[in-house]
Amino acid sequence: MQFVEPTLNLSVILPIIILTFSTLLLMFVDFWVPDERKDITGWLSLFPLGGALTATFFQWDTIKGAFNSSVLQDNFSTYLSILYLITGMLSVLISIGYIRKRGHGRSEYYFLMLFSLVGMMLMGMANDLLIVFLALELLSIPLYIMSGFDRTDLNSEESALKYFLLGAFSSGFLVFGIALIYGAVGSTALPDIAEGIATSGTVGLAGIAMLLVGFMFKVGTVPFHMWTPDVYQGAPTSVTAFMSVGAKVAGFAALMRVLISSMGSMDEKWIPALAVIAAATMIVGNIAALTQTNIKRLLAYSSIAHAGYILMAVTASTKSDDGVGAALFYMMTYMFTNLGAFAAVMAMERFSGNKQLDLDDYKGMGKHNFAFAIVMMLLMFSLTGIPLTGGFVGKFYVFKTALEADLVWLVIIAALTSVVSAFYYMRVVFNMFMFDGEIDMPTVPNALKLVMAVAAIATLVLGVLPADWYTIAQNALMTTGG
Amino acid sequence: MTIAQLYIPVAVLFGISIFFALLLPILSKILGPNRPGGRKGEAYESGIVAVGNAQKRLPVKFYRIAILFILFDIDIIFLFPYAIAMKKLGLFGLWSMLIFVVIFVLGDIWVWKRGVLEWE
Amino acid sequence: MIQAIAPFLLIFPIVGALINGFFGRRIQNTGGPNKGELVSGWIGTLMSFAAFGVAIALFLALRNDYGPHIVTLFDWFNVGDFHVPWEMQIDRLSSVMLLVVTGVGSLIHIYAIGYMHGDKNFARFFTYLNLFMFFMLILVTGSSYLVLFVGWEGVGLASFLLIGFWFDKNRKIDGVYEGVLNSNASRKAFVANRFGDLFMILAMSLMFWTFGSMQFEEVFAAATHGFEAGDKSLPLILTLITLFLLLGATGKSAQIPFFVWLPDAMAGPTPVSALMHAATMVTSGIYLLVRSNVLLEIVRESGYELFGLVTTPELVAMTGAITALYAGLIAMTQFDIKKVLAYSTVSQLGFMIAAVGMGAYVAAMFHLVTHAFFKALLFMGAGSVIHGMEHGHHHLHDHGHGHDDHHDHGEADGHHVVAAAVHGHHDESSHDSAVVTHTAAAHDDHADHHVEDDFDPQDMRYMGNIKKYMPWTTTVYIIGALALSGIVPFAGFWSKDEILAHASFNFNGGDGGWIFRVVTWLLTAAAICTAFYMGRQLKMVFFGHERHEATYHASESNRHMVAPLVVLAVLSLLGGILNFPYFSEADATASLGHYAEPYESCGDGKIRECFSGGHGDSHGDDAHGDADTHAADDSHSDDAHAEDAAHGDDHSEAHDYGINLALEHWLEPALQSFELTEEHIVHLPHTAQSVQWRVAIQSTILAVLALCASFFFVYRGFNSESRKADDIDPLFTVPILSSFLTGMQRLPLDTLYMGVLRPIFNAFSWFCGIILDWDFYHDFVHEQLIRAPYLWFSGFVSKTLDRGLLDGGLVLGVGKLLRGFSGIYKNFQSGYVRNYALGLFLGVVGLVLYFILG
Repeated sequence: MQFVEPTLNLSVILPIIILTFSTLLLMFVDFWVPDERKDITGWLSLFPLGGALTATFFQWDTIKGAFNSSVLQDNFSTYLSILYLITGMLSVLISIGYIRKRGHGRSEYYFLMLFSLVGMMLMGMANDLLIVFLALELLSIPLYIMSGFDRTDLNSEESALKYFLLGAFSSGFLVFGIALIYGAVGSTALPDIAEGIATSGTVGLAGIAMLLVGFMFKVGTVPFHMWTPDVYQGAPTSVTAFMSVGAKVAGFAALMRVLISSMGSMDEKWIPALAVIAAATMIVGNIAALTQTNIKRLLAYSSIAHAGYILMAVTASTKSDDGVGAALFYMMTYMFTNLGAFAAVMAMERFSGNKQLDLDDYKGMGKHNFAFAIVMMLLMFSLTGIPLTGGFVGKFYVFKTALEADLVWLVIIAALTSVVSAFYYMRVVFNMFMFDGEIDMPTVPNALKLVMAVAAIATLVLGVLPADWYTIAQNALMTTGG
Repeated sequence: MTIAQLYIPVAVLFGISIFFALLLPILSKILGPNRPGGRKGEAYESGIVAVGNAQKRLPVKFYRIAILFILFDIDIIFLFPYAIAMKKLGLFGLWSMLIFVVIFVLGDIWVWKRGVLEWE
Repeated sequence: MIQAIAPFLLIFPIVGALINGFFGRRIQNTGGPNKGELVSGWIGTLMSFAAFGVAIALFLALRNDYGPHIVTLFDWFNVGDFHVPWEMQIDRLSSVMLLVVTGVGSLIHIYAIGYMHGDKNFARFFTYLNLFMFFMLILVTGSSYLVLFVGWEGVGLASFLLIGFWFDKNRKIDGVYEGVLNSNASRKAFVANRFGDLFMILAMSLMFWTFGSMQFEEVFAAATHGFEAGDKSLPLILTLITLFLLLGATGKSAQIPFFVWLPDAMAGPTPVSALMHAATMVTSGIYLLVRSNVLLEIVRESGYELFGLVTTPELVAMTGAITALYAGLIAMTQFDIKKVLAYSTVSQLGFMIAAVGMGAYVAAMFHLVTHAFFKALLFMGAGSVIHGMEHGHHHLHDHGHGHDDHHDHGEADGHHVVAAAVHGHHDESSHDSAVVTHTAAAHDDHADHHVEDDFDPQDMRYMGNIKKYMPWTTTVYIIGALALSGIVPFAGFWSKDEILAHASFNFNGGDGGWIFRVVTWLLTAAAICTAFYMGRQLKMVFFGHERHEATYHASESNRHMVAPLVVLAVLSLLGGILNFPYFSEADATASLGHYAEPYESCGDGKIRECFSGGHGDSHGDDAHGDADTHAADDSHSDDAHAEDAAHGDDHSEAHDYGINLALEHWLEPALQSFELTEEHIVHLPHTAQSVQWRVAIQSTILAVLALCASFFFVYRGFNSESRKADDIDPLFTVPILSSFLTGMQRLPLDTLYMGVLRPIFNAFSWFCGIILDWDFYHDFVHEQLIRAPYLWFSGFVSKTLDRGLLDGGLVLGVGKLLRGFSGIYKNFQSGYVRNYALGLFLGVVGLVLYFILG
């Protein structure tokens, strides 16, 4: 067999190349950073992100394949890359200072985060199941390590181990699914699968099911969600913030790409399954959150619930023109809101004694630090989906698109559960404004303040003037085929 | 012959194996002599006396070396097929492998510099 | 002009809110506490007045045309074919709402300056008030259901913030901080409203799904088109939409089943109760339904019956009527001065909703307007009384034993006997004021210093004879109470009667069906309740005897508080003119069939007069200068009438008035269902064509009777108890005996009196007082025959039905249920990786099985 040199089109993966190699460079620069001043590495890691972000901006509105179209650049992937890189920047900002204390001043944290981002970006571009798998592992393995980054904290260790074991378990299913599909279709490239899957029979169907499991685990939908609360609670909060946004969005990116571009013809088959999963996820996530007293755990369940809402848009994406756009817009609002919320949690967190992660610790915040309380309130409003916040607009589009896809019962469940969600989000707000309490708040680093401000402003802007942003999300179309 | 019919032998085999898997332990339980107690309860019936806890803690250093070993293993996994198809792949293959090896070596240097290889 | 000035409606309040929000605390604290407060308060007030000015200007501009004027502010959503601009719709309906919201709102702002005097969060209060105005104006001016919903949620937020305004009150009640109770009340309001909002969202989604738009004009046009074209599925969809709208309105307008939050909302400061929970915010549900009149009328016309029972307009009418009676009954049992008014508000909102359901949209709006006048008046009057009582109570605290000059110690004990009885009564009466629950023992401890620590200035049992101490408040309050009770010629009579007349006219003369009959009776009963509880309140608060020390020291409130009260009292007195039925020669001719010329002159002259009367303070003079525009205005409707006449006599009844109604004439162009009736697409229930004398007289008599009955029966027991036994011989208070005894004392027959007559009289008085009056009349007749069933019934209504079933079952029960589920779920989240892996694996098995077999 004659070897044919693939078309490389390196410009497609230029942001990834920039990110990878500048991170490698950073790893060596780090040797000259003294141990007690590893914050510098954190600040420096903004440069690879900035470089990659700049390169990504230039990719908008160009569609190109690379490596024999196993990697694809279209507005869908570009939009997501921008989302990841912003997530990365905000995550780095909230981590500096926090990691100095909880991570014992080790700078590997930032490298791991950057490599994980490489995996995420690749996830959005992958047009071949093998690349999907590669990207998924590249994104996951650093996250396993980061979860256990506070080595002296048993909770952190437990979190890492649980995440790793279950992650490996689910990756196994993903590979199994890929293998089955390869067996049924004879290729792992998404366009080839799109052609062959309809006639692939039982083996192909089982493959789809297994494949879904892998993604569902990553985004944390019922019943593959059970790791989420434990891992989110145990991991250092900055890691939780990062993975609750980055990993989740990446999982959805791959899920959407695979479902729509290779299995669009099978949608009669997977829409009911996904709809049921979305409903279960919204119900379980919102109801389980009701009795939580730990704010990280509460936000973990909240993120499960939000995965349900996004999944609802994904479910509708083949029947409605705006499904993908609604999901992408929802991810954007979710990214800012959730990162802001975790930043607020970190602003309160302490490292010994009472860790100040209970809802009760926020009692009296309205009096103690009004600005903080207002921002937190805004973010909670957005997570609930109250108008004039991004969360409302996001939910609005998701509901609308699900209605267009005739998933009326699902929308009713979603509306009911979002009413339920008001109960627990508002508890935070009530605690802050309606109760008195002693607040013992650490000094908040400026970087954290910046992230909270950005999150609050973005939430408001997306809530009040969403039209332009939604247009962008809508234009982030996915290219199918080679 | 439909697919279902094709699988009938498999199903039969499956059934038989389950049947025997259940049958034999039950039979041995019923038919065999049963005299429990004494030495028979020990971990090693051969007479070796068990010492210490079954879950032994090893220094993390061992794992570190083991992980490095796996990394090199993977290195080999890539290099070996390349060695076989080197001619066919030509210059393209050479550059690809070079990039791979460079990244790999960078990692090694970093590991070394971090002091991972030092035993103490 | 409308295009240019309309945005300022929104700009003024938000600017006020921003100024007070960001700089309020600084302003408040500069230049001495009083001065800073005034500046901060007047900033808010002036912004509100500025909005009122804009509203008047819009009102004037609308006299020559009908609107609706669409003012586009900016594009909100603009995606593909989904296009939601942020538009304001200025038409005659919204202009009425605008005048009420900004007009009454401005008065309440002034009042609040006086009421909130000395509060450390003065500026924050005005921030919230202006914020509320902003959202309320968005709600009223929105041109689509979506924009309306933004305002809807916004006023909900403002309501939440203001109910919980005193979340930091430190006084403990039953071991719970009052601040916690306040914040619980605000949370209750918020959650109950979210349930209503859920239905609003459903209604909007359904609307968008069906018509592809949420703009009022487009939805109504599409619905009308579809109906004309005979779309088969339309009645069902519209029924669902209107049902959801109704449920949304029940949340905001506090109707069954979501009314539970409103009485609790009285935890907020009184200006808030007056502004939001009586005059404006709670009427937004009525506004919503009136705005959707086309949809309701199409459903009525289509006759699509929900579950084969009732059409949604009928359901609306029933909901309103049942709520009106139910809340009226509860109001009769309350002791908290504000809660009586709160339940009364629920009841009156029920009247309006019922009117909407009967197709009497104008009557509903009319009652909305007059109700805003007198209920704001009553609330603020109650606030003034509370203020006075608090002042009196402070006075007691400050001058602890100052009374000993004129009252001796024994007398003080006498007072406490009264107080103990009051509390004993309270325990049995089982209502929810929850503010005073102390035992007699606690009283003995405090008896020395005259002052109970948990004195409640809102409890009517502590009041009595306030007319002596607060004359202004008393006068205006009586005006308000008479207006609410529906006594001629106060505003409430006209508006309430119009609703009753409409109901009874339709079941007597019209073809309205059995619903109208039921609604008529329910509303009449509710009107009787209204008069009764208002009489009861007057008696307890303003008349009778002082029942508490604090009352003696109550003093009239300051000017800021009294001035708006007087203005509102005038409005309550004259408000009826707004929709006054008036006769003229022209009408007589008009009803004979000659429409064109005489009608024109009539409409011109009379309408102007009517409006300049109703809004006399604001723009009476302007209105007079504008005769031509009116002519232009009316000639338009004349065309319509001429057309009508051409259709023939049997069709002309919709406009064949023997009487003319000013507000009706004004609103007619804004309510498309009138137009559609003219085109014979729908048929509005008929409006009475002549004054319904029978209804008017009947309801007046009933109201007067109820008032008298309340004055006769209510609290006889307590009044006699508080007669300060040690001061005067009890005999002197028995009507006939007293004069006899007074005469006897003057005679030099002390010995005879002391030795013979007194024991006899004592025995006789004992018999009269204890056996006859107390044991028989009070204990048996009053307590056993009247009070016990009354209390049982009120307890049943308020405790079992209201608290238990609706409150506990519906609102809290849902929360408890969900928490229960959440607790069950916790068992699955065990923390063991093996269990998680098992769950994951079961998920895999499920999915694979579904894909292979399903």
